[in-house]
Amino acid sequence: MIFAEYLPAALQAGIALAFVAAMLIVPPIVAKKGAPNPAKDSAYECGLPAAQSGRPRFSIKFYLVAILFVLFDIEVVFLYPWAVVYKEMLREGLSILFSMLTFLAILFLGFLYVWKKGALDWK
Amino acid sequence: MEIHLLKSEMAVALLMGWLLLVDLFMPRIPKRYLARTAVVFLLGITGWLVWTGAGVGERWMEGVLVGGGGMFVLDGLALWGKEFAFWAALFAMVAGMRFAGKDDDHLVERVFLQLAACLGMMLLASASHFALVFVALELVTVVFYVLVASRRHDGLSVEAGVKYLIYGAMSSGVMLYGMALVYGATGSLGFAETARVAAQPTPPMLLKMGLLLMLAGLGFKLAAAPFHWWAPDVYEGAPTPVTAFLATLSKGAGFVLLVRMLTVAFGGMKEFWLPVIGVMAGLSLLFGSLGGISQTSLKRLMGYSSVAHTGFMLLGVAAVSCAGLGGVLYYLTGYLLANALVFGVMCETSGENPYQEIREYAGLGARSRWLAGALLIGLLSLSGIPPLAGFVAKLLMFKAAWQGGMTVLLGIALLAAVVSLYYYLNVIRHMYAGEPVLTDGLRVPYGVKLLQGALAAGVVAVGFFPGPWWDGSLMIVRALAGR
Repeated sequence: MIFAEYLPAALQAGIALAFVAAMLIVPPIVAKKGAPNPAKDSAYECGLPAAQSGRPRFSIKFYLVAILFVLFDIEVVFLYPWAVVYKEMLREGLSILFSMLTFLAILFLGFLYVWKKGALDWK
Repeated sequence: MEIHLLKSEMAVALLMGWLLLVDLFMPRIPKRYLARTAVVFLLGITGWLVWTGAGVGERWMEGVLVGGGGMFVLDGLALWGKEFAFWAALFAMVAGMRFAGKDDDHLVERVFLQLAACLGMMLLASASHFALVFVALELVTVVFYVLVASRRHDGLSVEAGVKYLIYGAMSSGVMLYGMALVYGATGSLGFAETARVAAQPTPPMLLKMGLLLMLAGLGFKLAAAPFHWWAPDVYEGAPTPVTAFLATLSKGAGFVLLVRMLTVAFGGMKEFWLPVIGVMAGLSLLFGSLGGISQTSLKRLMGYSSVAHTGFMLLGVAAVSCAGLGGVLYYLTGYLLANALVFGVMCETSGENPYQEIREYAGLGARSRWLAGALLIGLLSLSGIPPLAGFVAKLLMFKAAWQGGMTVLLGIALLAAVVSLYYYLNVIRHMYAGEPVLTDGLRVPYGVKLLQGALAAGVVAVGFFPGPWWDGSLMIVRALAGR
């Protein structure tokens, strides 16, 4: 039976499902029910009254910054393993150098575009 | 890596980079000129591809040219897919330029994105490895997320973009999970290794699950029922040239991948996927033809029409014969030409009729004989009236289904063809016999007339002389199946 290898995964999934189900089903049965009041319905802020909404609005600019961050972050993610194997692969030919240079060139083009279009200005 | 096999892809990528850089550093050049130059260059690349067969000449017929350790193949289907991508992109770019008007700040970016989607389909047509399949497919889909929502100030467009993004991301995830299961079953993502495992007398359960999930993901790309729910909304909300691009390129990309995947990688598991494709075909035919009846917007109608056409093409896939699969390629050719005609007319009238209400097409026959004629030929071909391309394509599908012994599906398909005839003819009735809302004449520039004339001639020629198209399609599919 090939599925025997997946037993641990199935077990974990089962436990997770059972836990969620228990958390949903048990509290309403066990908990003491009382009339709702404003204090009960307010967000729990360590005993302090809530200062503002739990979901404040923030500037759309962060969104752009986050996207650009992910972009250049991924670049570094690619660069690390490349740097690790670079010396060994270089013996087999220059293709490892040129493939990374192509990648960086494409990314640099994107960087130029972002810069020139003013996406890096905080205004 | 055999770089020389990638010449056409690199040409498109260079064109994209050039376009972006010139627009960035020489902002004084009018964007319209840049976009036109891109069209001319793309035409050049298309011509080169058709003339030389992507630089490999006739060699693809002798055998498969493989690059990247079996990741990338250049065979008849790959070349066919690349040409399809070029033409779909060209029509969409021209339609987009007509649609955008003179003061569009993002025209170059839009053309850039259209080229990116074209590049995605070119890679997909050659992909013979699930990793490349996924990257190429995402290149197409991510571009469409942006393009669909590109009219940022139009609520309908943004809504369509969000719907497409959520549904698309979900289905990409499902597809990726399917690929992971295939990897689990075969230990490889290559089509060749997958084929080896799939050819076993009892293929592993994991492989079946993987294929099922991938078909679900592909069903979204093809707008095949029951994964078609996004189609009418997204088709309606997207800017008209984007809808045209969505209807042609993403469908072509999906079918080229489906044909290659099912024949090359999963050819040994016919008994498993046949009923799945069959059910998808039947449901698409029913949903597409019945759903379109009550539509009042031509764009929404085209959404349902595209679902129905997916059903017809899946019929050919389900026939599992060279006639069926070759018919799919022939069908796509006719479908591309007819859609380019219909959407081209829609782009011309989109200024006065932004939501493409069918009743506002009333009197078009008197206002512009040219546009009405183009729409007439496009719609008649889509509905399958002889002797246009759509008729021969449907006939090929019916014949393949009959030979495959799928009488129930054939019955559904005949029913769907008759029902969908109603809604196509309804538009034509409005156009020529309806009470006109507007009566002033429509000016159509000569360039557009020339393009539409060529497209109409193409639809008629492909239908009247199906020989060369049919033989070419058949040859491509035979080469694929013979491997």
